[in-house]
Amino acid sequence: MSGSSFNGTLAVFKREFASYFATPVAYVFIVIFLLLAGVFTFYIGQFYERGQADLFPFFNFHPWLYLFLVPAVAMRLWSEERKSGTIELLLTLPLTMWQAVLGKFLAAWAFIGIALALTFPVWITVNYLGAPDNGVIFACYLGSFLMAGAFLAIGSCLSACTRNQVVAFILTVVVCFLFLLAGFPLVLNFFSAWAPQELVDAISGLSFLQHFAAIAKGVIDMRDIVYFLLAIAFWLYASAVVIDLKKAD
Amino acid sequence: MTTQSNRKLFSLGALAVLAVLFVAVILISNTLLRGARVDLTQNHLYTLSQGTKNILASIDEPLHFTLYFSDKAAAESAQPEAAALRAYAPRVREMLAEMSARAGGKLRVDTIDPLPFSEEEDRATSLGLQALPWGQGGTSIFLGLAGTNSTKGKSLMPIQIGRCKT
Repeated sequence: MSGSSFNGTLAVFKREFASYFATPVAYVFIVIFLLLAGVFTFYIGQFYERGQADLFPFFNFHPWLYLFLVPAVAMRLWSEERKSGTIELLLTLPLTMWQAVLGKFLAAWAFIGIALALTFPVWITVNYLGAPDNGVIFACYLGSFLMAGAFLAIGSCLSACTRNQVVAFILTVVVCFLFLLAGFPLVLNFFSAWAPQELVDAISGLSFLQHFAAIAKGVIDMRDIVYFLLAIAFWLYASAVVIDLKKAD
Repeated sequence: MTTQSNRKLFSLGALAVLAVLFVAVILISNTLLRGARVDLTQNHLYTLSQGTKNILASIDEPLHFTLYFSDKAAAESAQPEAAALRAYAPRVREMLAEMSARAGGKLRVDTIDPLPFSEEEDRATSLGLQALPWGQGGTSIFLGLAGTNSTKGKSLMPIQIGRCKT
């Protein structure tokens, strides 16, 4: 990436990132995320009752937390710009489409990264209570962050499709849900009736949940990392195409 | 107007091509990047231990391992556990391949999909492998390992998800 294109991305990144904290969005999101993560871990996940020094009940619920919280962050990425008309201003700035898409995405991803990082007291707690496998916990954090990025990239694309944030939110939740459960009968049965087994297998390989579970075991497999990065790249490219298509609308 | 709709068509076409490419690249990376992994667990649960490597190096007669996994039956099963099993089986297979590669040609590993009511299924049962009744209509799903040397055969273990210490 050349210096100037990096500067463009950075400018969008800074502006977007600051905008989260200029409004209550950031604080509401972070507080709710931390609260829900805590409730899921300690009550539903039965962190204490299990009597095991690991963060399985904590990370186990991340995909489901993200399913509703990440689309809420992603829905405003482009539809708000389009509704208020500022998208025209943004796209007439000396920026390429890529810089705008990437800058916005990275800002939102960094924001979710901060929310995730603020769950560190759970890590400290489990280390205080026992001797957990910290390598596994680190892998879980990495997997969780990558998965959040993939959710966000889907949200970015679908937010570009509509000027209505509620529509963007609902579409994102549905598509993310399908990607989460791609490896499960709920989704596969829809294809297995007519599609060849190879295609069904290919679809089942797209499951976020399976790739996350693989990383969360504590093994960083290049295939899982490549999968999430490719998913992010694909959906961001799709965002750029959609924005370009709907420029005139 | 026509150029506009042409452009639209072109962009949508590009997206469709990209989606296919996306799936293709993931499938290719699944085979190319096999084994490229970092084991972050404290006790290296997912890496062959020194003891295993020593045993593999000291095998002095040809061994033949057969992994029985009912891939097709698991694919058709409505049980969510069967889907998890299908995601897990390749990892077992790769672990066995890694062992085979370290055994200096003494260990051969094959995979068999024992279809319901087939000879392979009878063989799997006679070797003592236990089946799970998860298939469609209660048919058996096998995930187990059987080993033979030149004189006798024996079921080694039923394989369970999460038991990876080697």
